[in-house]
Amino acid sequence: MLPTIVAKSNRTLLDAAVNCAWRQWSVVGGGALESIRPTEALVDPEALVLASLALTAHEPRLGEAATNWCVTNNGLLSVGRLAALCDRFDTDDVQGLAALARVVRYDAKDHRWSALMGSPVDTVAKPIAQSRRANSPAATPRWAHEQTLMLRLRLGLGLGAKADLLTIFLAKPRAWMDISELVDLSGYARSPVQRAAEDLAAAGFVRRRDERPAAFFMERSDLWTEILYPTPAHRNIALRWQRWSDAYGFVSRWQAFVHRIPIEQPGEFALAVEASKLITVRPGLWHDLNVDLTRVATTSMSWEPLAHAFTILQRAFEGTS
Amino acid sequence: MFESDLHLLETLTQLGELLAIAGVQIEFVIAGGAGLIMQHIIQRGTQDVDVFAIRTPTGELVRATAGLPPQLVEAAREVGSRQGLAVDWLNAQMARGSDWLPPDFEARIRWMELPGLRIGLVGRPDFIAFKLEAAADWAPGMSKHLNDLVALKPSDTELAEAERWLAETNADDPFFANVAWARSHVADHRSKE
Repeated sequence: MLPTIVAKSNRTLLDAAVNCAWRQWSVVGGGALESIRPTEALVDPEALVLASLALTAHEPRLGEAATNWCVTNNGLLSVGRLAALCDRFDTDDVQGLAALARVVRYDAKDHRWSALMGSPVDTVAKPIAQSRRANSPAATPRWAHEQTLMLRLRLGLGLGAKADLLTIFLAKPRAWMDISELVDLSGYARSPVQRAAEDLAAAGFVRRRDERPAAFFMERSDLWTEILYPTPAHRNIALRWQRWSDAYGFVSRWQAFVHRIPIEQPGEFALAVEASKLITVRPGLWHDLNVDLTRVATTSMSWEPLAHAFTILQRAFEGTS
Repeated sequence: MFESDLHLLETLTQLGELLAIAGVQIEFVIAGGAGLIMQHIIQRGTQDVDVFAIRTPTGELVRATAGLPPQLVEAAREVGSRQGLAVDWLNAQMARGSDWLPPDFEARIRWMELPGLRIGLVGRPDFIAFKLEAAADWAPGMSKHLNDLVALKPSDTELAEAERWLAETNADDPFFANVAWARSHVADHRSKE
């Protein structure tokens, strides 16, 4: 049993992550009902699929929503990026990706997904595919929602690093970003990111600063948003990138850690140490959320600094940060 | 710096919590100043906790000549960094150099159960022998070990027994000349009380 203060942080964060996943599914067409309050930051589709698999133990319908959506919208998803972002989640949590890939491979007849199926393949593929509920089909994304920008650019420009980098540049306006940061944000390997950024710069989509390391920057993202969102309802739109793969990945890893604690009553100090270790694995997320990592990493006894960090992440999931 | 037995206990509890949450259980025996502080024999602070013996995976209690297990070192480092303690606040330095254990060593240990840790405190005769040995190593001259030995208030019989044990593992001169000097210092101190 977790100490009360830790259990509270844990439960609140988990609930916020589950609710956020549902709100994001409703925006991209994977939820039955449109959310009253859609998520604020852009939806990262691969992060959402992996999050839904990771959160299935707490909310089984999320896995079903992810599977149905992937079958309908398989062409909008990057198989390579799904595989790459798995590293940000607990290994056991994303084991369901192989089963999901089998369903998409056979139901949507998309051969790209074979790469995620693992082995053995054919013996188990059909029963899983048949088990998918036919009465809960997914829809295509609601393009009017600005949160679907990443999918929208993929649809318009083609699936790949260029469309996704463009999304990141639009959602992080006026920020110089080097290749390492773009790799970290996008989840793609260094080589395609380097190529895509250089091409975007050569084509005049972004500016390049000739330093070591070279940095890239989108000067007038507002012009893009005027084209993409011309209606008055979208006036003064503020697109915002959120490190969803890191945010959901943290929840996945933390929940898995808590689940595997081998003793009945773990101490507050040890839980604080382990949580702070997990936080420092992907510091970019916490820097973006303005969490003081020094304070988190040097906590002497209490859970309080961790409770603060959990609350900030919870607010990010709730869209109230 | 550990200023009190409470601080020591709190730190060791944190250490045990970290081990327990990782599914590890370790058993070791403390000697040195930390052990004396935990038994309320001395009031001074100490920089470190001296591990003298450790339970092996096969269940044998041996002198910690091989150092500390990696999981224990890692957990100690984690605790130490959060408390501003020295990197090697938990160490097995005093166990180095010999495999020798005092006769019936294990029978005199007082055990303390914590999550992830079973910590033993060496018996009084062992404390006296270790402190007499350390005081002799520093003699002739004052040292914290000599002060600790005085604080233990050993009788002549206890000192004689400790010297007999030390003869099993130490060379003759100048070590035993220094032992005699330390014993006479304790006796002088006793006579002045």
